[in-house]
Amino acid sequence: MASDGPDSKIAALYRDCRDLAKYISGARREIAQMRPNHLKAEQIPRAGQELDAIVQATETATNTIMEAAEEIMAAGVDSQPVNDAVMRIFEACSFQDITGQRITKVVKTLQHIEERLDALQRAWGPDLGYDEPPPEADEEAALLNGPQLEGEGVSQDDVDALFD
Amino acid sequence: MAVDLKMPILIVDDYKTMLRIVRNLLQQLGFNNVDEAMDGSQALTMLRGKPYGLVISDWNMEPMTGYQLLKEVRADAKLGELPFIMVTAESKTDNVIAAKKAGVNNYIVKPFNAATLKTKMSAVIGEF
Repeated sequence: MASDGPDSKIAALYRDCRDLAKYISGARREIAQMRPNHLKAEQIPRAGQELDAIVQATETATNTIMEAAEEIMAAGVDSQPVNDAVMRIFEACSFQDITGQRITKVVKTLQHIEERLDALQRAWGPDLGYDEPPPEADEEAALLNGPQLEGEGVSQDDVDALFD
Repeated sequence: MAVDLKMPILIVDDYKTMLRIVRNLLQQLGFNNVDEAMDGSQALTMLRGKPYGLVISDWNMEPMTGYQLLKEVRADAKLGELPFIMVTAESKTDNVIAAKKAGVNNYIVKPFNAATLKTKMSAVIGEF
């Protein structure tokens, strides 16, 4: 028959502590698998830069579209269908404002995640700084880097030079 | 009384692109006397320096928001009756109620079209 004596209580406490230690150890391992240093130092800032580039690109495109519409308007074409179409172009261009505001919200969320990662690292100590190496991408996947930011990648001239 | 298409209108937005869009839409509606401000404090200075017939303002700007601008305008003895339309992406009921309580004349949610702008302007300044 199980005893409720002091030895039994100490044994139960020991088991609980061992389970808790296992749980903490597992949690540390899982956090390390998230590669927090890489997330904080590279992936999150990169995501912010990509979002900034989206805002910049849509703004440039919107201004180009509006300049063209303004030129049509300035030409003084006396045609209701043309005026209506120009009006619709201006209306549609307002997407850029909304897009910018939505992206700003996403950037704030990224900043919040970055702060939480900092707090997590402070709470768990410096040895959490170890990042597990990323899984190796296959040859083709490693080539899929998407559009590059301003100043990165190669220009068309650089590409042409490789074919000369 | 007919609306004076030459009346000065102040548009306020921190997005240059949006200012350009609203200016062009107003031009298409026949209003050519349009000034621009990039935030509430700049707008307030301009409103105190020149008589305007209408303010069309965004909400979310820094350092002074359109909502703060609205409250400043309504608290100012000389500007208190100035027609004020809020054009904003802030589309929660709480925003609309707050703006209404602060004395906004009309409220347009972005994105909007020229027909909506014309309808809301007509409701505030009269048919044109």
